[in-house]
Amino acid sequence: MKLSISQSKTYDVLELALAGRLTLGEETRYFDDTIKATLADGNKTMVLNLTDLVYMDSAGLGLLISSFSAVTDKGGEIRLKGLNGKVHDVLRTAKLLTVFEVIEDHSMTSQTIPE
Amino acid sequence: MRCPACERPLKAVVIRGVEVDVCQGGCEGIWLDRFELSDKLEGIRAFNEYKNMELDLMQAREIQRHLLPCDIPQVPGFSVQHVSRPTRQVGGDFYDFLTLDSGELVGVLADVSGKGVSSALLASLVQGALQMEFNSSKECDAVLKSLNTLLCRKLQTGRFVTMFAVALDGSGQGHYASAGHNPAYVYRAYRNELEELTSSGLIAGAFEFAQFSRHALSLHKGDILVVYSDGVTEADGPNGETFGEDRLRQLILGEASAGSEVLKLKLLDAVETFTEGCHRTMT
Repeated sequence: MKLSISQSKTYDVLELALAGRLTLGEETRYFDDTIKATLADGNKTMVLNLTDLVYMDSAGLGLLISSFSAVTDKGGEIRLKGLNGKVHDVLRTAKLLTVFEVIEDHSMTSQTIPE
Repeated sequence: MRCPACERPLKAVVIRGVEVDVCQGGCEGIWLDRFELSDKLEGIRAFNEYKNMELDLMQAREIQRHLLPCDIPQVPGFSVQHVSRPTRQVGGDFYDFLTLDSGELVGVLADVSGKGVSSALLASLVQGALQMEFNSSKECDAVLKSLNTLLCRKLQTGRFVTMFAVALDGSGQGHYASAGHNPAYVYRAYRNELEELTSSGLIAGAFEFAQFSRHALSLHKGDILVVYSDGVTEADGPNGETFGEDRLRQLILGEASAGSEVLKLKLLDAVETFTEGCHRTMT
């Protein structure tokens, strides 16, 4: 299962919904290119919706970290939502839940995020 | 077509994927059509480069294999079992054991993110840095902190290392620290129970602000400390299910009373059976 990313924007909050697997190779390149393109477009506040992300390997996790750095270095912020079992476990084990801000409520939409 | 030298008939023959014209029954000369030479040479060059790369990888694997400790420190009262099974020629997992001047035994298991040669190179860097750091400190948390600072400066963004380090004296008293590594387990023989060793330490090499804490650990007669890489718990079964923490815990609880050597063999056997032989890199 490959990675697909759909985008939606409400006010200045860009939501990227990831579906499939975020693993070393084509998928990580696609995710990296997408983040770079959204930053180049001037987006600074992002929500990564991981509800349909079924698996993420260490390369995917690394890319999540580099995206976090790239966005925060530009004065922006990146939040996660919809953490499912396996992806949640990976982030919990790496203790990254203390670094990323996680929107716990899966039904919460990007409109509720304060500007 | 006839041979330009002796005018005998030529026959097209494929030698190692390269088609040439061979003189049959005459001078036995081998002929190429006009402009074909550069194409053939390119094919031969690519083949040779592939072979050289394969040789380089085999040598890299040998070097990495020799970086793993061949002489496990012998500490009275301890039995140390270890195994590392990369699926590629080289990988980012490694373990190491050191004996400190104080007599304490240090054990480390680390897993560098990513796969292949780049991870193996980083693993060598981390292993060397760890040995240096343990020369100046015997506190696992302080070593992880120094290592994190070094890696944050040396690694490109997005690369990181997970690590579990433990230091024990001859009586089984000591401590451990973790950098975002899978939880280790201690089988408590006298209660026949399993204890999970948790930690709040972040992965190393990603954030300069990461903090690492030290946790006390006591091992008593019959207790077994199990440290492993995610290649064990994330080993894929045929139906897409992973081996998982629950299966690992049950296996340790079921087999640990027979001793660490039996437990290691049973664990390897269980992962092998679960994955039908197609396991990932595991340490």
